[in-house]
Amino acid sequence: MDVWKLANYAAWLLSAVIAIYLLRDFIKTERSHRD
Amino acid sequence: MDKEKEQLHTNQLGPIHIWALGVGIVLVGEFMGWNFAVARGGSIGAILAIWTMAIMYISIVMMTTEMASVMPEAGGQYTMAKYILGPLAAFNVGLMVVLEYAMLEAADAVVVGDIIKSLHPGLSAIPFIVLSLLFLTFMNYRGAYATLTLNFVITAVAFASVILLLFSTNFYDPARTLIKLKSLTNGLPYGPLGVLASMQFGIWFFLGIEGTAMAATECRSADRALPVGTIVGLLTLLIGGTVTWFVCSGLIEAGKLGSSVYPLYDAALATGKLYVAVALFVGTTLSCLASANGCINDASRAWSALSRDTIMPNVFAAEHPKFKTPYRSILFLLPISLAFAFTGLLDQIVTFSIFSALLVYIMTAVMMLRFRKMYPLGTIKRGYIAPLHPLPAVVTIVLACVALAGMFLTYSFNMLSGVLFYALASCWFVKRRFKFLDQKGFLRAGVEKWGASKI
Repeated sequence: MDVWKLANYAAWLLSAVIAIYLLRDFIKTERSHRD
Repeated sequence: MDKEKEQLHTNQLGPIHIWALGVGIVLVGEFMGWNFAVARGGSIGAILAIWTMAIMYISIVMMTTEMASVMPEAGGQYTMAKYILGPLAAFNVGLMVVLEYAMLEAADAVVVGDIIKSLHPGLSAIPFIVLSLLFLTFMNYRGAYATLTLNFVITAVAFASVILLLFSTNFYDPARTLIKLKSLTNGLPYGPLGVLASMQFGIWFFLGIEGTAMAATECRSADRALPVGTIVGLLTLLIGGTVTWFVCSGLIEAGKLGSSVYPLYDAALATGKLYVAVALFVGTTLSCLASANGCINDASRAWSALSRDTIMPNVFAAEHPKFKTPYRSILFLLPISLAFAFTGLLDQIVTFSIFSALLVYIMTAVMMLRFRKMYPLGTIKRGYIAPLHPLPAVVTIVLACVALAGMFLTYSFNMLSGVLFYALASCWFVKRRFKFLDQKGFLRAGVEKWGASKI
């Protein structure tokens, strides 16, 4: 596979990981605020 | 004990963090954008614009440092406007500050994407734009101390790359120097009008340095950290700006320099030294990341302050229980910056950012004049006293108006649209938000700290 395309996919993957972390922590924090 | 620990956790910033916040946001201006001043005003016009704007920023930093050193809470110019000018001005200043930083952040991300894309046609800009914005949001979400420590490191590396470029030219040895100022510069081809038109690009070297005031409440000792960090930061930028002009003007022909996308990187290529070119590629990328990082920090603090005072819906004011950051504001502003970045209209984004900043500077000068009337010297304790008052305020108003006039020559439609936007936003605030404002609580902290004003 083209290494440059792989770099693009890696950037998308890392972005998705960070987005999921932020979303999870946000939901957890909002729940704790409600409790 | 828990409260003490909590206080230690939030009040950790020292002068180097303030330096990193200020210089980090601004340093990107040395790596791209400022050189359009050469296209408008010629080589001499550009350096005149840089130094003239430096005078304006020295004045602004003196005023904001004095006012920020007495403010009881974070929020920078917004907080100052709140206590000195009232809710409508505070709303406008807050909105201008948020948009100034959110747009600058978007512009930085666009440049990061473009630089990475320039490495190989197989690379796309969009995934790297998204990744850089998400990564910096993640860092900011987890706390100001870690993110500003990161900013210190990447800003220092970016600044070091400019100094490396300077020494690689052998400027100190007339026999071996690569600098050819006499043959490559073009003086003042368009006269005074050219200088006027280049003013807005002189701002690029300093735009955002005043944001250091945002971190006032997160400092270990704001009385010391704010003036020391900000003034050393401004000196760093002034030296860096002059070095940048000198190296670029001495290595690249003025006509080419005026249209370069990455002037420092092009100057590095002109030296013919691979290690310098690599250093400047890294420096350009890091300076963009440092700038976007500082912008996220400042925009989220300003938005959170607006929300805390019920000027905006107060859901955004909440702090993260563990990281003590305005996490809702940080996340709320992320899609806005992403949306601006996706447009890819770099010059339009940056013009609106500069326009908003210039309006804030004029308001800052007005606030300073009023602040000294409300609380004359000796009536309240100040961490820093701006010298030569009212000269800094007058200089700021005059030079900001000159820069606006220069901007109007090229971006009149954008400026008129900006005025219309802020006018409509003000109407919305008066009609829809003013009734929700907690007018008693709004000024309580200031009145408790300082007592009643003289006017």
